[in-house]
Amino acid sequence: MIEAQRIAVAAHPRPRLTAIDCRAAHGEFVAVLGANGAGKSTLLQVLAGDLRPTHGVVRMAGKALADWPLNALARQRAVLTQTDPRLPWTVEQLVALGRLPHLGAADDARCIELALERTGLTALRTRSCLSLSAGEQGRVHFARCLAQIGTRTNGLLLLDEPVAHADLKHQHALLGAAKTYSCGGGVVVAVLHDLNQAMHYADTVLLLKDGCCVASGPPRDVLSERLLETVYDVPIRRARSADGIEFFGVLPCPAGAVIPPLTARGA
Amino acid sequence: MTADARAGGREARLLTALTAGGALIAVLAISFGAYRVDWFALLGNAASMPSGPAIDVLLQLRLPRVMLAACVGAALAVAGTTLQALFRNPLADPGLLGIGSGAAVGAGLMICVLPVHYAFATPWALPGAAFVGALLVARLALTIGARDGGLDVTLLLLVGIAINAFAGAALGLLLFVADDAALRDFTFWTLGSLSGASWRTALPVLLATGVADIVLLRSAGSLNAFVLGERNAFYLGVDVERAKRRLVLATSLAVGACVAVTGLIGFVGLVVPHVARFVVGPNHRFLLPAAASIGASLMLAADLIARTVVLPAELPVGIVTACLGAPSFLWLILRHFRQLHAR
Repeated sequence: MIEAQRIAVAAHPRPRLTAIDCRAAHGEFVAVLGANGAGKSTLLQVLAGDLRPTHGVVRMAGKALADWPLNALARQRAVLTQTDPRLPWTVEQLVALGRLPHLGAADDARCIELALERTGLTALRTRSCLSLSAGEQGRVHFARCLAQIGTRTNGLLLLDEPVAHADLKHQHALLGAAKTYSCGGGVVVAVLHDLNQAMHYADTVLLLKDGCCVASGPPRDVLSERLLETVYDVPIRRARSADGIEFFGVLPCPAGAVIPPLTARGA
Repeated sequence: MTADARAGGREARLLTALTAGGALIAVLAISFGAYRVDWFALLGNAASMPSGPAIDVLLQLRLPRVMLAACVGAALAVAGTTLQALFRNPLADPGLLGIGSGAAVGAGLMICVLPVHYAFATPWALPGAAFVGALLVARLALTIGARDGGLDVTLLLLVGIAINAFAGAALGLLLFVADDAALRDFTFWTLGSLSGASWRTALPVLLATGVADIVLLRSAGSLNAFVLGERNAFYLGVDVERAKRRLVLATSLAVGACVAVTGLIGFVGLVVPHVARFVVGPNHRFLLPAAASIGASLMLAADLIARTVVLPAELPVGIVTACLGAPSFLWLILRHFRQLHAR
């Protein structure tokens, strides 16, 4: 459904992305993983059509992103950014903003209602967003994205760290809502920091390091201890609980050394 | 209909109330002044096609003046609301960003440099020059303030301060080089007043602000998206660069036209959007018409006060708007901060 071929984003002093291939089909949940500054958000921006890659092309439904009329694009792909502002709008008003590209479609009210319901915000609908906690505000913006996609089942959700600030329960509720959307035929591409969440929600993971894709594929196959240690520079163990669920653990660093010795990599 | 329209019953009622209030103030503004319109006598004679000084005052002096005041107030308020959304800053207003000063310099140049006071000879020259000045400054502010595809608001306000200082110097220089006649026109104009309004001078302003208001009111959806930031506006299907150009152009047109007739009127563009937000909430579909309505009412009231308190003389209307605007703005800020810290 969305396909990026050999995309690169040049920048000074080093490229932000180099030769990345990324493909997400209908019904697929793709998790993008990597350390800070690895190019995860840049990749999402390229997939959203916001940032033109210096090389390569991104196609959605077979058509290059640049050829899509902006409004048609906005009706089938929604983007959750990390920098959503705090606004003196009520929850419902802010979620309704997601319906902007639909120019007053008949099912606006129903889409807003559904989005509020799926994010557990129905009870907060008349509250001002300024009075909400950071986690609740994140959910409001996620609900806005759900409202933007609306009843379309084959749309694209691009989520940049959707669970930041959310408590454990809502992290899973939120990823669950995204997973439900992908299972219904949609495409979800999410930047995640939690390996366990990537393991349990994603169909495919894309592991980035310094703007390059170091591995991609099903999480069970790709997320090995050795690979993750080279990507994150911390000791990581993959284990299995008594009831057979696989999970990751980050080991505490030796006393005195707050950050483990890094390979010579600069900043 | 949209969800907005369905959910907006309360806002729609408030808008109706605001419009009704504005209409009432307009009737008062037409009725009172140095000459008091006697509606009963006028309407009593309606059948016999009234004429004479009463009807002349009404049609040739009072009516263009009232319409000019309403249009200037509405346009300044709508322009201020637009800039606050575009720059995502509650302090943005035409004056602060230097757009008003740019317009003033444009108009000043026209008065002082052109021979034989061509500026006043044709009603289009002054608004045109003010518009070009406003547009240049707005464009400059947008260009300098742009950082990584977004506008850096702090930078923008600092640029505004610099532009205001420079414009002050430019206006001073114009005063210095102006000959006596130009100096008189110039001083008269900078005081900012709606007096002497006639259909001939009012018409270009009515047209320009009308066009600008229509463009801006139709951009309510884009402005709502801009509130979320430029990237989110793009994700919501707004062609950000085109929308920015359109909004800046329309705002400059409105501000240029207003400054050309009234000089720099402070606070309307800054305060009225906040008052409107307080009344109908932040959705621009309701906020823009509410701001237009409140701005027009405020300006009509200010003009009415300006030409009635010191009869037979009259005060420059800018003094009245500042006297009304500054305290109400102070009240709004204090209230806002109390709310923020009460949590």
